[in-house]
Amino acid sequence: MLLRNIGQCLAHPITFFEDIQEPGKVRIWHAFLLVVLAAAARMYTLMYTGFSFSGVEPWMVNVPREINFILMPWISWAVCNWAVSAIMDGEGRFRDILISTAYIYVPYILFMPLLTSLTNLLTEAEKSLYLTLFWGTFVWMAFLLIQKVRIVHDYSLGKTFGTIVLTVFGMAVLWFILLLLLGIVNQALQFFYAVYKEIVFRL
Amino acid sequence: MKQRLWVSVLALALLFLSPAWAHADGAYQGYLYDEYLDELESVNGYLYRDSLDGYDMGIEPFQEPDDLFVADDDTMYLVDTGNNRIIRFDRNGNVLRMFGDKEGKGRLNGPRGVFVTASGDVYAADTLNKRIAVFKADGTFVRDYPKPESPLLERNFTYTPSKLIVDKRGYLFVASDGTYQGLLQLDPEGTFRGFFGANKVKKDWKKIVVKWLATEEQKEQLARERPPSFSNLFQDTEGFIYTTTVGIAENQIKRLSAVGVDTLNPHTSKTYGDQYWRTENGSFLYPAFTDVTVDDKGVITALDSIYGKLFQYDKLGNLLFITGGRGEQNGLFRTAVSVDQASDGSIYVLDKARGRIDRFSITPFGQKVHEASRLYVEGFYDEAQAPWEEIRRLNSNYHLADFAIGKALYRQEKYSEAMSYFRKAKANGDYSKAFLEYRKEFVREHFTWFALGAILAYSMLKAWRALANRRKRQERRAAAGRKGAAL
Repeated sequence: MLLRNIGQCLAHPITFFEDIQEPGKVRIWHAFLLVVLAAAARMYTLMYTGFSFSGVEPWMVNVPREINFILMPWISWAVCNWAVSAIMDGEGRFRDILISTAYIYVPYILFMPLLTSLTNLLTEAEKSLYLTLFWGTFVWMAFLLIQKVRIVHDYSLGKTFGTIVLTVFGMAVLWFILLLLLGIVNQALQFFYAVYKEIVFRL
Repeated sequence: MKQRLWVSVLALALLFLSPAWAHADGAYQGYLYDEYLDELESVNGYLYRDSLDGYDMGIEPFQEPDDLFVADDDTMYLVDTGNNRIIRFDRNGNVLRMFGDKEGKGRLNGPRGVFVTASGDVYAADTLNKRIAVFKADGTFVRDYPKPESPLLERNFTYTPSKLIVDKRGYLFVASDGTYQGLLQLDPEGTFRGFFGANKVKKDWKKIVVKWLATEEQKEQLARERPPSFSNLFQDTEGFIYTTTVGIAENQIKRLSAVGVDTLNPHTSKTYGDQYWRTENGSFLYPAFTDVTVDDKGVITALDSIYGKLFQYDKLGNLLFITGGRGEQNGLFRTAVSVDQASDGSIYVLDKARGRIDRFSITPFGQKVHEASRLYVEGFYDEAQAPWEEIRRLNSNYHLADFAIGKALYRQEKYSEAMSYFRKAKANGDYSKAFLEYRKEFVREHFTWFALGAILAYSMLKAWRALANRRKRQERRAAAGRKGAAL
């Protein structure tokens, strides 16, 4: 079922997103699996890109950071898009948004490892080919994202772009607040730890 | 308890008995930067040897000495700024002559630079007198070059000659503090012949935005922003003039051709000296290159006064060694201001705050690097391969050696070996070039397989399409048959 969905997402994305709300069409664990696969693809890309194109050695790759790089956009997009669409009369439920967002990683999962393997056969002179394919993948993903928002929420194209801008803005706010919170919590923990140490010294 | 005492006595005795070479490591650890500007520990190229100061020479101590010049015959000239004199001495510290009269026209006032011609004429930058004073080799005052007059110079032009050189024609090139237009060029008669090789103000986005937002009054203040003046200059045997500049972050060292074009950093900007700067009171501590010296092979040694380090580069600008640091131990500097090199390869550094001259000798590793680098810079890659391999054995962190061996192997058409060396040297571009050749070779060698594969793939495609067509036709026929049956 997952494989058929992936194929449909690549070949007929519009039909696929139209069908996504039908019961029994998609499973939530498929979405998690796709995100895990995307993280794996990213790791593979970082570690095995040919030396002509990247000087990153496998030991330089920070695994938790790279996983976050895939995981965090997915979750924060889903949350913010859900919040924005709730105000803007979107049709999609949170579950639909979460799953359909994960399917945007499909071109990344399939083409990045292929492109990475290709870099081991290309030289710097063929860099333009590499860059075209590289950015082509991201353009494709952007196209999928736009279609996803439009179809899942049943929006007009103008409203789709408006929603996307608002969602990105919402993500920025979300991240700002989270980082702020993290800083404050860190400070608070340090304070309590200092108090604890002080007490232990006095006793 | 008694036992422990004996042990410590023994340890102390051993400490004093250990031969001098046991702690010849020096006060500093050599290091280099790799292609990605990470620091790598390296073997020292130069080690501290000994020092000379005024007491050693039997004269009163130097006061704020500002410049050191080593002549071709290895006698040294020291500008003893605070004592208004220039001292000539040999390498053992025997004073040969003093320049600077007590009275009259030959009296120096706060001199800061010296240059000695091949015939032994001493040109002193007599900074506070705002002139260049010339002495004969026997110490008699010959003439002076006062502040030049020219319509090219602004009316409020302040002349602060601090360093100078004299070229083979007898033209003077003078670095004047705060003169942003470049070096002043004077002919042997003292006529101003124009500026030479100015620094440029660097354009950056911040400045453009600020200019766009600024009011007229603020703009006027901005317009006064000048490029920095040269802090020092040096002329090599080929006649190139090397300059140093303080207060910029890139291209602090330049090699100016006869027409004033920088040939050391053509179309590039490069940060000389340390790549990671300390901060002090919240702002970056910029390196301050105050002197540079170049040997007859084109090896550049520059002195960063702020970090107290000597940076040695080959003719192409590849970093060879970093020597010294700030501190009180021998081999470190309090305020090093000037550097020059003797014919035996020793480097002399003048420490202004300490009032002494430190001598550094090249290590066997340094000699090996110079040998290899000389061949490499001149393009003898194959001949340089053996010494570079020796260097790699002594110091596996020396990436220039990996790179040079890679180049040699590339020339010998050993592409896959060259690739592995370029990879060690982190040279992506050259790796890619070697890989291109390797790929060509690989395809040529295995051409049969590639051709067979292509033919096979083509025929399989054909067969598959034929099959698909036939199936389609059958389906159509079947459908037509069904239609016919239905009719």
